[in-house]
Amino acid sequence: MRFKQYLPEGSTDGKATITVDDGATFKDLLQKIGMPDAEDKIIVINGISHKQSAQVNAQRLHQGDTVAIFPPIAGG
Amino acid sequence: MNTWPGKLLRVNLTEGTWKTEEIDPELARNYIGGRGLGSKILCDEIDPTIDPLSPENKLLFMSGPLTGTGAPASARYMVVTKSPLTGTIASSNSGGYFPAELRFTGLNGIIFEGKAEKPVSLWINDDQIELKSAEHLWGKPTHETEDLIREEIEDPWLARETRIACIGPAGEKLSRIACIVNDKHRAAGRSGVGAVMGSKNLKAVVVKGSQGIQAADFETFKVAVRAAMHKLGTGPVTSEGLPTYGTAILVNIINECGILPTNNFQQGMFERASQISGESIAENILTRNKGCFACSIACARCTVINDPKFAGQGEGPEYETVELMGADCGIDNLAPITKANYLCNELGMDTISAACTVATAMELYEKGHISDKDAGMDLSFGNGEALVKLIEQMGLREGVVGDAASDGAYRLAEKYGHPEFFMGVKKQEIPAYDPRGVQGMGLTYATSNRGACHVRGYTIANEVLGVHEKLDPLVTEGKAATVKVFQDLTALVDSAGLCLFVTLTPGFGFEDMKAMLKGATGFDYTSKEVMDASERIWNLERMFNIKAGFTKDDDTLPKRLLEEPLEQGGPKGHVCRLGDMMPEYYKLRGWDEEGNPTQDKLTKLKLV
Repeated sequence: MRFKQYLPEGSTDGKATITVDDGATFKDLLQKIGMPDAEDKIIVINGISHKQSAQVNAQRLHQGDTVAIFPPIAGG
Repeated sequence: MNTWPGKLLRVNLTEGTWKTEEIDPELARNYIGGRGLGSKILCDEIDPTIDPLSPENKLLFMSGPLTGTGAPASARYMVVTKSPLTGTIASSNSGGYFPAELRFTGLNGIIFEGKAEKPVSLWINDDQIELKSAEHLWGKPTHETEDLIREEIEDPWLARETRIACIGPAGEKLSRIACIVNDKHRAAGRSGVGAVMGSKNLKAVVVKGSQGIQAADFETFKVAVRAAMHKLGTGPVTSEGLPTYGTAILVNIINECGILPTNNFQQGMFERASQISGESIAENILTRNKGCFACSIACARCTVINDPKFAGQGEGPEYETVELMGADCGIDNLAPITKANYLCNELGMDTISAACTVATAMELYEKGHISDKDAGMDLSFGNGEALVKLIEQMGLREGVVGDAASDGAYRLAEKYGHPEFFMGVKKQEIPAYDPRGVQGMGLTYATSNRGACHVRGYTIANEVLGVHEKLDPLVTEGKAATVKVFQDLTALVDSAGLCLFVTLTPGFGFEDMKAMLKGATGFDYTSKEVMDASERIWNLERMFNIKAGFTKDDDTLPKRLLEEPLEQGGPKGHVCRLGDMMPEYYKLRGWDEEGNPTQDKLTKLKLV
């Protein structure tokens, strides 16, 4: 998936561990990996799904949090 | 030249006779076509209490006014009948190329009545219609059936362009989860419609047509179709996600959200989910994607398995199949899953029901309720070889468990004394989303007129994927309204002859459907009229079910999903709070507290 381009080199299976300051926001994480807002995305933080919004951008992340970012998908 | 509403063919299989009939334009206008029109005709012509496998049942193949017109994703028809799995009204949808070809013969529907004395196939080549013996085809899997039928056609070009819908051994043996396969890899899957076809000794329907389809108002049609095509061509789901990765792209996100049915809905997350994802399919077994007639989405998967133990090729697995044969059976290996998928297509069984039935068998076995003697194999969760072996037995009605499982998970669980392991509604198995973590889907499953079904009100699109707007999947507030809107729009799309996936593009809704329908039919539909038609169809189906004996007590979910919370991930601690949504749903539908449409509602919809 083209989203994998935003992960550090050598990442496998579409997963990576990214280090950010404790209390950094989701927006900070996006900036760290270089993913633009313009990329339409579905965000899952600790198992809760979101579309990108000011609220999600401001959400603070903590040690051990899981963040998953998916392109727009759907199915049956 | 085929114009809408045009004609249908009424076939009396008992007598071996047929005749064409003009479709009543007023019925066509009020019920749109496909699912709506087919359901209306069925409701008018059969007693809802009959045995679905008796000659009294009727089997309808209905096109919509947009089928075969070249409108986006206009490949669909509906098989409408009374279901031998659920006892409700059944309408099973399929795409590929057969539905469009049927319209090219000049027919917009076929009604099969009675039962042939010996196996027959119906052949239609424009005006040439024939019931031929199918005794030499009886017993053959669907792929071989298609190949043999083509060999009987002398002209190789005619053979190549002929389209075929048929049943496999499962339908012949009246498996209650048997489907009708067309174009080898597409299926009118759910609710046992294949068993109804088998009960009539009807093996195949073979069609080739050379007639065009005429839109009533071509200029209006053209403008509407181009607008819809633009939406589909620019929407990210329909123009990128689905063509590239198919529906199985959902595995990882659904797992991440903690709603991936695992081990017969005992858990909502599967550790090795990524091994059975759309990405894994693309990387390991995909040869190319494929589309139905007139579809730019082209989400189908052509695949091949080289592992000698499970070797084969065909199409799929789709999301439902890979999830339910994968995580829901505890299996993490694409090879046996895909092989089992191919077997379902060849033997003619619904992959959702078949997979859920295997998962149910596995839970029964692991908990000691199915003996090794009856099972004849190690039916533990995670055993891919057992999945393949049991699916094959089910399709052929072999083995003690295989034969029982051939009639679906409800009857299997009942036979072994533990109906609480049946994860379904109205005897139809629940698809691949755990409603404890997505509340609206629980309401969708409980209220769908054909038993548990995800496509009849696919609120996942908004609750998880935020296609049109993003809702919170864990709340019940507002979900009754969401479910009703999705159900109504789906009824319209199902009746028009388009694929449901046209609704997965932002901004696509009732207005787009209205515009295309106006152009194709010449009916001067208003927005209110198409919305009323959608509600009319939904209430018509509901009335059939009520007359068949269903009550509000059947609008429910298994105890596990209502009372046992999920234990992992985002929805940890949640059950499906169906009771918080149902009263509002009944109210919005215009039904009383017993779930019966009120006289006022029926009158307003002109159903009385």
